Amino acid sequence: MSTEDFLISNNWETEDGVVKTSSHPSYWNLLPPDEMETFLKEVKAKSWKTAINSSNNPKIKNQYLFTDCPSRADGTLYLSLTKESRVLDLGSGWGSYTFALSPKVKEIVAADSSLESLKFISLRAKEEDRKNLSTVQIDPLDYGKLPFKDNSFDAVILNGVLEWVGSYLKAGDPLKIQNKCLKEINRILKPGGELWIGIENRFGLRYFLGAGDDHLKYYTEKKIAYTTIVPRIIASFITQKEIKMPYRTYTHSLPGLERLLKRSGFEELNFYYPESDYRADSTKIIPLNSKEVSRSIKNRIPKNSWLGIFPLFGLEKALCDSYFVSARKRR
Amino acid sequence: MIPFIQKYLLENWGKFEIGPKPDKLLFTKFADRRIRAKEVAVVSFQVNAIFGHDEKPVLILRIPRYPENQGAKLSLEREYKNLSDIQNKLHREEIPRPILFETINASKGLAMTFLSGSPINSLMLSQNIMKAFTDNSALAFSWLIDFQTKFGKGRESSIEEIVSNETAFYLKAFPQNALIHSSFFEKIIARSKEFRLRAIPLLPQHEDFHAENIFIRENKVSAVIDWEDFEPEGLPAFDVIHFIKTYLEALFNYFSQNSDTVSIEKLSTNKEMLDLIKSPIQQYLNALGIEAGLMEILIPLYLIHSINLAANPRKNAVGALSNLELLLRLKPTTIDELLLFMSAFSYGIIYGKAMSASNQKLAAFCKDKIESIQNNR
Repeated sequence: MSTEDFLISNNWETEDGVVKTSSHPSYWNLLPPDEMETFLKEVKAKSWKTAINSSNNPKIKNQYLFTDCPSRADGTLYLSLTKESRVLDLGSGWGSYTFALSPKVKEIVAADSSLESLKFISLRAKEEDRKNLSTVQIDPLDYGKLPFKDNSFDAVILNGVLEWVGSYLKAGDPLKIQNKCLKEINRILKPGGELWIGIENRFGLRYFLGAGDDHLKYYTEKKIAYTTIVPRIIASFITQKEIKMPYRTYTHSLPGLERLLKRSGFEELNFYYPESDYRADSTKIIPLNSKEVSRSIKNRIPKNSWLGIFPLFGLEKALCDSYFVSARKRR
Repeated sequence: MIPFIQKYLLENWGKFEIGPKPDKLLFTKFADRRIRAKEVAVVSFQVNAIFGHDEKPVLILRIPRYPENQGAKLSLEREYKNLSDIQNKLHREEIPRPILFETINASKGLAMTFLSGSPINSLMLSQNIMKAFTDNSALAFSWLIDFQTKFGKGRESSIEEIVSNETAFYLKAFPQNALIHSSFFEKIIARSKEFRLRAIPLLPQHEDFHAENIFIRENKVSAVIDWEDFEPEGLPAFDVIHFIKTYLEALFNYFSQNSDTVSIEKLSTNKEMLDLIKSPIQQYLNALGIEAGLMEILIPLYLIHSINLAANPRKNAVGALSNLELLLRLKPTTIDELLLFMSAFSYGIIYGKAMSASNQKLAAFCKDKIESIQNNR
């Protein structure tokens, strides 16, 4: 697949099939660099599936679920994708969405700041002869600059990514950094193009019930709870005390996410409730404006809990644990 | 995909004869049951119609995960044809009416009427699990008897012919297993020859008649869904054995999740319990005029036919396949044996959990149970 149609410049270097556009390479992977390097050698030597199945590393075995699981991407059936679409999987990880969407669209571009993850995607794509797939290493999204031309994608996937935007650069307001990133995504979408987001809800019911912050667990084995719910300045106080870091992995409330997307130039927002979790390998997905969402959340609120006050004011939908969102760039 | 389908449905609403045109449609995607291979999967949605502030479920929509996948397309085609044939013949309220089978935005889409009720699997774990089983199986089997009787019997076939066809189909698909099963297959074939002079009618079988596909409302079956595998001339008693096997499998899974070895043992060996389980089967066999003695052939045939179905490239149900194959290798010929062997899987699950939790005592207990079941074989 030619990258000329969507890359701003074509003077980039390539390494193992990955176009390297990043001037600030970063490493973000569930495997430490040395384990990833060994694993990539195995993938090159054997098939990618054999490399995973024959590995003794439990992290690699666990990764399989996030790698070859097209049902994780079934939510994208809510988008208007066609066989003519060009789609960008931004923050593609090991390519769970990339490979799920590849047979359905004309072109799929996996972009990530981590070269090693993209090398895995590239090796798998070569092995499976996925001619419509390309891989591009980009700067961390905190920089708010993407190497793609204006109006070049029909859809952008941002699954489990937005909340990390702001955590790479340790300075600046994460909210403004996310806003800038979303505006940049808006720029590269075609008019009427769609953005698909999967993200935790800041005020998810399970957080009120004491679940640990999903994003802080990557920094510490300690369970740190309630950080998403309290004002962010207090969350920062907690994280400084617990892990000597400011709080920068911002998730959003339902109206907060709506405001952020509108501020970034998106319209026609549709929210969905993944009943188990947006990261699950197969989840029921209910449109947020369906009455079924209220029933589902009400059933999960423990009896005699103060949280029962939410349904009294018709606010139970604000307690979904996570959301999928589709949003459209102005036509 | 959904925006294209929504537009199509609203533009053509009048053709479907399912009531007034709604203002809007909401599509809820069901969780994938992960029975089929992911490539051939069909994704299902419940479609709710919005009229002002009212919301009402109206349709079930099924689309292939991968529009170009032949297996998924064939599944939808079969379901559409089966639903059309059954409805043309019987006009049953408890069976979905196909509404459309069209290519929209280069993908096939099958829509059918939504039928309300609670799936039987949601009613399994009441306070008295065995009473729930008796009630649920009575409702399901009385519906099945009525459906099979009204749909009508198929051609008559000798027992020997049924056995030969099914085993031959299996051996063609799995020639590598010929040696493993040769003595068991020979035994079933020899037994079938004892019924040489008798022919039995083939009966319509749903072929996936399990608790998740049967819905109950106001103490009667309100819906039976998922007709993709329907066979108008199917293996006698297949649906009944499938219902019992999958229902008890769900109970075994529940017990093994809770490491409840007492309930597993009770369900698989207690005579009173076994009589309770076999009673609705006997009533069904009596109603359809099927000789009880045939069950020793029909049970292994059920497993062989299920394996043949799961192995079909249209489904490629790898998980189900390995479980069924293991059961077949244990050579059950009675419901008692089938249950006992299923319990071995549950002990196996608890054994795994006990080992991870370093609970040596529980692990040893489960290991003994599994070995004793294997040795008694």
